Formats: sequence, C-alpha cells, structure tokens
Amino acid sequence: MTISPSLAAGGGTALRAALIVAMLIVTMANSACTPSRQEMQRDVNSALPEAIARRSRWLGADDDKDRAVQEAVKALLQQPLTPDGAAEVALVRHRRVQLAYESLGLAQADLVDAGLLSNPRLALAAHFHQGSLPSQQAQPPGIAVDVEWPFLSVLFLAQRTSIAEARQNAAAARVIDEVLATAADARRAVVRHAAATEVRRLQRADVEAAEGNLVLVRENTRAGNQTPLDLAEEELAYQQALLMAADAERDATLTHEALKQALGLFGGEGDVDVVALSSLPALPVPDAAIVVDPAELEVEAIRRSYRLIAMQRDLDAAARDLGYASVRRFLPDLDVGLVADVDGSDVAVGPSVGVGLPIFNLGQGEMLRRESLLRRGAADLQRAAVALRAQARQTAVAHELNLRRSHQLTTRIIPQHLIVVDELERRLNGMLLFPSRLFAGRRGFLQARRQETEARRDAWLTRIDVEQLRQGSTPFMSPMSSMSSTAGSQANPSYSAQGHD
Amino acid sequence: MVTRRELLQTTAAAAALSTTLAKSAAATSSTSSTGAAPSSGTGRTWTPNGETLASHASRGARVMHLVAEEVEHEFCPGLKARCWGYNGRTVGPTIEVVEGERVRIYVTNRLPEPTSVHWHGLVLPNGMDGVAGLTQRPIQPGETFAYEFDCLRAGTYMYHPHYDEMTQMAMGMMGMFIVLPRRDPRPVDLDVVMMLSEWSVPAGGSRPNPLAMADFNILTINSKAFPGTAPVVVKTGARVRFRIGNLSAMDHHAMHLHAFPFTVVATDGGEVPPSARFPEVTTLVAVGSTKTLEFTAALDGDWAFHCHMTHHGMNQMGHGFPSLIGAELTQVKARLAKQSPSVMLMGEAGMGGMADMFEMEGMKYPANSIPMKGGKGPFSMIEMGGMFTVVKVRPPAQLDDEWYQHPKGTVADLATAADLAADGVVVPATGVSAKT
Repeated sequence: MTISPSLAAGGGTALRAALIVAMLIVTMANSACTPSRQEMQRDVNSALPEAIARRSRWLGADDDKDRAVQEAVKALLQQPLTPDGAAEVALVRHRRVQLAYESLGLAQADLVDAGLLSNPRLALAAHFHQGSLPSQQAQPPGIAVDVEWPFLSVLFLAQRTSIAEARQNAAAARVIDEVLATAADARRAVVRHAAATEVRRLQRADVEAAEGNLVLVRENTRAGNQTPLDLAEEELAYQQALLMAADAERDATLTHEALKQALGLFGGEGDVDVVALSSLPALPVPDAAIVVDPAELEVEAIRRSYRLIAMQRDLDAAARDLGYASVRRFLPDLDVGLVADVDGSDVAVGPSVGVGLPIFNLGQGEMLRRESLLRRGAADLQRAAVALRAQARQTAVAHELNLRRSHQLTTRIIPQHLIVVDELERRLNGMLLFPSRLFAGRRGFLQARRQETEARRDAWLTRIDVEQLRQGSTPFMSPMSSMSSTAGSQANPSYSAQGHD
Repeated sequence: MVTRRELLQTTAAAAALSTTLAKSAAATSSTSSTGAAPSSGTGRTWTPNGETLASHASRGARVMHLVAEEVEHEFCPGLKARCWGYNGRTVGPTIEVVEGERVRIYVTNRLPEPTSVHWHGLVLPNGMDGVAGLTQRPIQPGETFAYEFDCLRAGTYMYHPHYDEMTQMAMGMMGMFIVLPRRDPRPVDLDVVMMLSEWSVPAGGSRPNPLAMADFNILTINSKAFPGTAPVVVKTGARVRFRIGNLSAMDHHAMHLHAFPFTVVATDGGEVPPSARFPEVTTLVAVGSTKTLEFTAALDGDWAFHCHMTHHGMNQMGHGFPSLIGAELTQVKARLAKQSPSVMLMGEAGMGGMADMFEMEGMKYPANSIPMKGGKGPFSMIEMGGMFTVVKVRPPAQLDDEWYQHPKGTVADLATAADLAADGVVVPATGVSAKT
C-alpha cells in the first residue's frame, strides 16, 4: 500500500528537508568502518604466537612481502625440516590457511554489505488525458515521478552491521584456530615422519641381526652341529623380521606423504627430509611434580579456545539476528519517498510512505528458525566446551604418561639393554654362550630402541597437543587416540602414518 | 698362575721338606684366625696353596681350633668368590696329628646357620662323629663346641660339616685330616696333601651356588684352579706321596700322573696290602674317599698331574649349546662385527686358542671370571684349567720356579722334509688322509 498525499504548497520545503535527511543518512552509512585485509591480518596475527605470526599471511595483500615469504620457505625446504620449520612452510604453502583467510574475506564482504543502504527506487509513469489524442490540440500527458527508498535499511543499519561484525569476528577467530591447527599439524607430521624414519632404520638393523643369526644357524646346520628344526625356526624368525621391516617401510612412506600433505607440497618439492627425532630438544623429565596439570590445562584451553570464541560470536550474531527478526516481523517493509505529479503546468510534489502490513505473515516461521538456530548454537557451544574440557584433561594425562614411558625407556630400559648386550658380548668372547644369544640380545635392544622411538614420538605428539591447546586451538585427534597410540603402536604400526586430519 | 713369590715360597718349602725326609721336626706353622698362640704341628706333610692347622699340647691332648666362617677366596687370578671355610680359608687348614695322639678340637661357628664337623674316616666315639641331629645337636651360630677323641689309626682322612652339608660343602667347608704313623714304614721325600672339589660359580658371579647338581664349572685342588694351583717341586729321584681326598658334590675324579707309574698304598679305610697293590698312572678318587699313592720322581721335567675327565681340566667352560666346529663362519663374523665390533667369534676349528684369547689386551670378558683360562707355558699357553697342576722334577741344585730346560733334541718339533723323506712318510696335501 502506498500513500502519497499531494502537497500543493510547501513542496519545495519538504523536498529540501527530505534531501537533507537523505544526505545525512548517506553520510552516516558511508562512515560505517570496514577494516581492510591488512588490518584484519594484523588483528589475526596479534593473537598468534610470534613464530607463527611471522609466517601467517593472507596472500595477495602485498606482493613483495608474499614473494619474500615464499623465498624464505624455499630456503627452509632445502634443509632437514624441524617441526617449527615445517609449521612455517605449511602456513605459507598449505591452502587451508588461505581458505580460512578467504572465509574472513567473505565475512568482510558481508560486513560491507551490511553497512550499505538500500538503493532508492525511481518510478516514472505517464498518463494521458482521456480524449486528448495527439492529433488534437490537447493537454500534454501527465507524468508521475515516484522515488521510493526502503527506509528500514536506515533504521536497521546498526543492527545489520552489528550482526555482520559478530560474524566477521567469528570468522577471524576461526582463522586463528586454523592457522594454529595448520602449524600444529605440520609439526606433528614432522614428528611422525621422523619417528617412522628412525623405526625404519631400526627395523633394517633388526633384519641384519636376524639375517646374521640365520646365516650362523644355516652354516652350523650345514656343519652338522644343528638340526633342520633349528634352521627352520631361524628362517621363520628372519621372515618375521622382514615383515616388520616391510611394515616400517610402509609407515615411513605413508608418513612422508602425510607430511607433504600437511605442508601443502607436491611434485618435486615434496621430497623433503626431516631432522632426526633424537635431535629435538630434550623432553621434560617427569618426576614427582606433574608436568602438565590437567585442571590447569582444562581452564587454559577453555579460556583460550578460538573455536569456542568463534562459536560464541556466532551465537552472539544469532541472538542479534533473532532480535532483528523480532522487530522486522511487525515492520517488514517501510518505504519512504517523494512523489511528483506533473500534469501540464500543475506540479504536485509530496512525500510517500509504503508500509508492509503484517496481517497474514507475522514472521512466525522466521522467528522459529532463528530461535532454533540460537538454541542449536548454544547447545553446540556447550557440547564443544565439554568435549574440549575432556580433551584437555586427557591430553594432559596422556602427555604425562607418554613422558614417563619415554623417560623409563630412555633412562632405564635402553641402558639395561646395553648392559645385557655388553654382558652377552663378554660371554661370547668367553665362549660361554652360543652366538645366537648375542644376535637375539641385539634384536632385543633394537626393539627396545623402537619402543623408545615410538614413546618419544608419542610424547612429542601430546606435547604439541598441549601447546596447541594452550595457544587456543583444538587438536582434531582425540587425545584418547594419543593415549592408546602408545600401547597400540606395535599392534597397529599404521598408527604412525595416520594424521590428525 | 701363581706368582713368582708364591712359587718360590712353595718351592723352598718343598725343597726343605725333601731334604728333611721323615724328620718330624716342625717345618711349617700357621696363625689361627682365633688369635690363639701358634704352635708347631708335625710339619711332615705339605698342603699346596694351603696350610697346616696350628696346635699345641694341653691337658693331655693336642688342642686345635677351627672357626667356621665366610671367607674371601681367590680360585685363581681373575676369579674371587665369597665362600665358606675354616680359619679364613678354603680349603680348610690341614689337621696333622700323630697316630695315638688324643685331640681336642674346638669348633666355633661364625656362619649364619648351624653347623657341625664330621671327622670323615676316623674311628672315634659315636658322640664325636659330628652328625648333627644324629650324634649331637647342631652348633648354633656363635657357639663353640669341643670335640675330643683319640686318633687311633694312621691314615689320610677328611673333615667336613654334617649339617646342611650340601650347602656348606658346596661353599667350600672341607679339609684334610692326616694321622701320621709313629714310624713311617715307607719314608718319603715329599708328603703332599690334596683335596679335590668342584664348584658352581657363574661367570660374572661371586658366590658358589650350592643348588648346582651337575653344572660345576670350577674344579679345584685345594680350592685352587689352574693356573692358580701351586706346582709340586721335587728333586730328581725323590720318593713322593700324594694324599688325595675327594669331597666334590657329585663327581669322582680320575687323577692321572704323567710319566711316573704310581702305587695306591692306602685308602681312608687303611693300608692296601702290598699283595693287592698294582702300578697305575690313573686312579679314580671317588666322592667321599681318599687315596694315598706313592711314586718315584725318576725323570726331570715338568709333568702334568690332573683329572682325566676332560671337562674337569677347564675353567668356567660354556656348555649346553651347539658347537661351531666345522662351520664356515666368514659371513657370520662379518655380520657379527657389524652388530658387536668388540666380539671375537671362534670355535669353528676347535676350542684351542681360547686361553690365548683370554690374555689378549682389550678383550672383554664377564667381570670376575676365568672362562677357558689357561696358564702361560714355556712354549705357548697351556690350554688347561681346573683340576690341573705340574710336578716339577729337578736336580737338587735347580729347585726353582723356572720352566724345565729340555736337553737339545728332546722336544717334539717341526719335522723336516729330509726326515719325512728319509722315513718314507708322505704328508697328504690337504684334508684328512684318504687312508683314514
């Protein structure tokens, strides 16, 4: 329904007033602040640890800096990668970071949209007087000019902007989470591949020991000192060693592929090498004091989680959206405008107002949808928070256990194996035992070294989990997996090849 | 091998004994660990690596004191163990009395468990027989018992515990008990006392294992394993008596003397009637028995005396696994060197050379062990250990610890081609002779 009362007099004044109001509104709308890409990048980086912020880039914002970062990454790839170096590479090369940044770009676009006023609508109409044909000397046709403007875009400008800002903030939090997760995943991939490479080396050595013993028994059987049964048993042991070595080869290949994937590399550039696991900084020594307090990590993870922050901001946007819809339901449309009617020399100008009448559709469906979205968001936030709490506690416990396991293997079991091997060597020199015992002792030592490598790997993985949680990001892998990985690593060697994502 | 100083001491004692013949004047004395004043024994016997128990006369008897206690014992250089013995040693000091003497022997128990002493082979009152539970109550730790009896019959006897004897004898508690005749019917130049025993000491361990039933790896004469055994040095033509007892846990010993046929003149049951004696070079000394043999050291030289059960002539020998004789080990050695560079695998051509290897600089073995250890000889390592010693027969002017200097042309050596040809001996080019 459009009401356009004609104003015969005073139309000029009304027109001026309307123009002034329109100018003010346009000015106000244009003054709405929309951050640039650089500003948003700065905001994101300010929340990141310095080492990560250094390489976290929204590519395309500054070509010179982009080139410099790419060169730095190339240099990193020329040498064995450390976990931190891998994180730097992934932040630049893995497209998931740019994907996240572009999601932020979309939110930025939505914010821009929200800050813009709707365009006015101009309607022109001509009307011809009845009987006044063009052939006749008659009155010229009348012209009606109608300028309408959805005034609600002005009324709700602040609400729309506020909703878009909340969503942009949520997007920014997700970018931070994604950047941190990308870095952590790259670090984990390095640790896994370094461990798998070491295990492969150890299994190759194990094959050599098993082969040595097989040759011994074969030659001794040939000499008549041992039996076909002895030889068959050693052949079996050797075949088992080959099998384990093949598993280790497979795991090393898979973890290498997983590493390339985590770094976002492909082709010839993917032939990266990693540092030895033993060259990583020493792990903390678990003693009477707990290395990571589960309660403390739980609080910190909850407080810092950018994923929860994003969900909270989404929830905030949903709440605002609900408020916005609750108002809009009673005022679905409000158009204001000017109507000019020119009929010959008679010009009538006056304001017009168009209002949608909420008679049949009171926005019940929209309200229900938004209420449901709000409740769903709240439930999801609570679910995620509870899961994060559990994940944090489990990660702390898993890290403690992995550290203790690694420490026991490093400081107790490996030295004991060395003593055993040394004693076996002494006894072999004294002809106090058969050489098979020494080969078996060496194999026992190598398997203990494998256990130690896997324990060190698991300790490093949970350490990265802990750091990621403290930084405000959430590991994708359930900590239960990392706990069970210790016990399950031998039963399921493929564990080491599995990625968090 | 014993040190030069020890060898000189024992040689000097032997020389002195060989010149004093049957004189009963004291030649040796010892200090009891009880601190009692030493007094001379008869000094007519000599216990290599051992000593004679000090005694003195008192209240109509010869008084002696044995203290049962834990002792630190060296079987030979390279192997020490915490054993049990008497008066600070194993084998326990030899008790030497004269036929008809009454003895009063005090026994103090410083062991962690009760003990008793059985005077093995001696005829005595039942209550002095030393069987705990049967003829007396056990001597509790800290207690001192007195045994008193008359030594009615000359002969070679032994003493050992008869309480938990399996443990206590396996730990080293035993000694010889010599009752000398008032008048020796066959005077000798050297009267040597030897106790044979066997032990289970794990290589790298330092305490005998009394639970061993078969795995004995240290075989000893007077608790010493060659090269720790003192040689017996006698002058050429000397009459020599060996009094040999065997208190091994499970094994008899076929004692073999090189070069000199001997005659067993007595057992712990008494004199063997002359009509029943016969010459032999090896005699079996059964567990729990003694044999007394006599011979004339007629030929100069270094002569072996040892148990002829070949495993009893080895030190801590590994067993219970396959041998490597005849195996081609070139590849194995290369692979083993990659795993353990410090080991030296051998045995494919026999066990010889192990004694040499044991002496190699930098070669590592279990601590406190003597696996396959042998003694240094004048020509090469002596690939023997355990129950082995050397009887050195020398002219009276050369009673020293030097190796025998063989007259030229009396030592086996490389056959010359000329000799082979002269005797028509053809040596096969390789391998075992087809004729065999």
